[in-house]
Amino acid sequence: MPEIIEKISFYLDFPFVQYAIIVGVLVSLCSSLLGVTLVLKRYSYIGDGLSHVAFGALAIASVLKLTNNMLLILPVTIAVAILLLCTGKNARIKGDAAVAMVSVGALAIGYLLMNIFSTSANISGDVCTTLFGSTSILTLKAEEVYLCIVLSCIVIFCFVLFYNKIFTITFDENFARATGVNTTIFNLLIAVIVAVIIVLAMNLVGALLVSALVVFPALSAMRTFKSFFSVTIAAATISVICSLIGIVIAILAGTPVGSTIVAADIVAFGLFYLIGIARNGGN
Amino acid sequence: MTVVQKDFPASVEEIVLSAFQGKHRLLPFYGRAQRDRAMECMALTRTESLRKSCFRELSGGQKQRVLLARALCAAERLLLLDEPVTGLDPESSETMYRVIKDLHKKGMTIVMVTHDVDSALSDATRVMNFDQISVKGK
Repeated sequence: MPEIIEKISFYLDFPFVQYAIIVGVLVSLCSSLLGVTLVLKRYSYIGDGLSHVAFGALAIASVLKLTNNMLLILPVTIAVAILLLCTGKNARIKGDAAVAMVSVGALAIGYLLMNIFSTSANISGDVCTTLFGSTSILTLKAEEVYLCIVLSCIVIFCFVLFYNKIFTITFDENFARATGVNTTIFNLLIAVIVAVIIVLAMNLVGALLVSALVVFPALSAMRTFKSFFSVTIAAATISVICSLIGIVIAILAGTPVGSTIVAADIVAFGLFYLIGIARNGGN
Repeated sequence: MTVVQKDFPASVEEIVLSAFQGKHRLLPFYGRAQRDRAMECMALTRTESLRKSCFRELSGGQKQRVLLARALCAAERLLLLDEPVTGLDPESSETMYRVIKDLHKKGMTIVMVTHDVDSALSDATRVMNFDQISVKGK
């Protein structure tokens, strides 16, 4: 045991490890906050869809040889998020179908573009990194970390400020509208926040595993907790702890960061599932 | 009852308080006065003992009364109820009617659509029958 602690403190001296931990904690915190709302609204898969869109946008950005590809990825992802979350019940193509269509469509176009206009010698390596985030969290630059800190703070601030509004709209949108809440604005706000989180989270776990950060903490918390407030707090705590454990194990054991974090989330879900069963006496 | 509400983790208190969201646009949290009013509405609908309970684990009648408490927080003078006892067992609908009657005595105007004709006839001050548009007053 002392050896492990020594090893951890040795690694913690490296700035890239510190960056990874800061970004990991912030991103997992943000994604779990919105996760509860998304799971309840039956949009669990939006994380996947949007991250594929971000992947597509990334491909376009690298074809256009943009220096700062965030300038393209963020607006495109936000636009698609608004399109998916705000069209509501009147859309021709509904919720899950729209997400599925956008998701695979963007993935295919992205890979196609990367192949046709290849700029590097190792395309499949690049694609693999973006999809699974294998090492990118350990190669973050200082300015990326600052951007992540600023965006996460904005997301957390918005969430705290509009926590009760988000609850009201998620629980009963028609009632909220009837009592005078401007549901359009808040749905728009939720869509923008979700898009920002997904783009941030792609760095951490990669495009294919983003959904895990959104869905697992929320579902684990919903197994055992009964009020919206306690579920939100529990989801945030579970998510942050799992990410920390995941990053530490990944560094010590040399496993891919993204999939290790997701594995930690799965273990946590299993634990909370069992606790839930024990509490409800087998129901 | 929407699909979302079926597995929504929310306490009764959180749901009743959510009625105030339309009234204060900018304040992020609830004030003392609103908490007191919510308690009052829960007392009127006989749900105050369920305050900390989980909404999805309540019975049909209890859920209906919680939603009535929420409506009460948002409404001051008039409540429109669309078939408030449909799908409830006789005991729950009895409680529901007693609660509605109490509210009416306190000065709330109640407009109710129902298929439960007998109870409607015994409690209502006015009845509209949409079969052969007729109005009966007491």
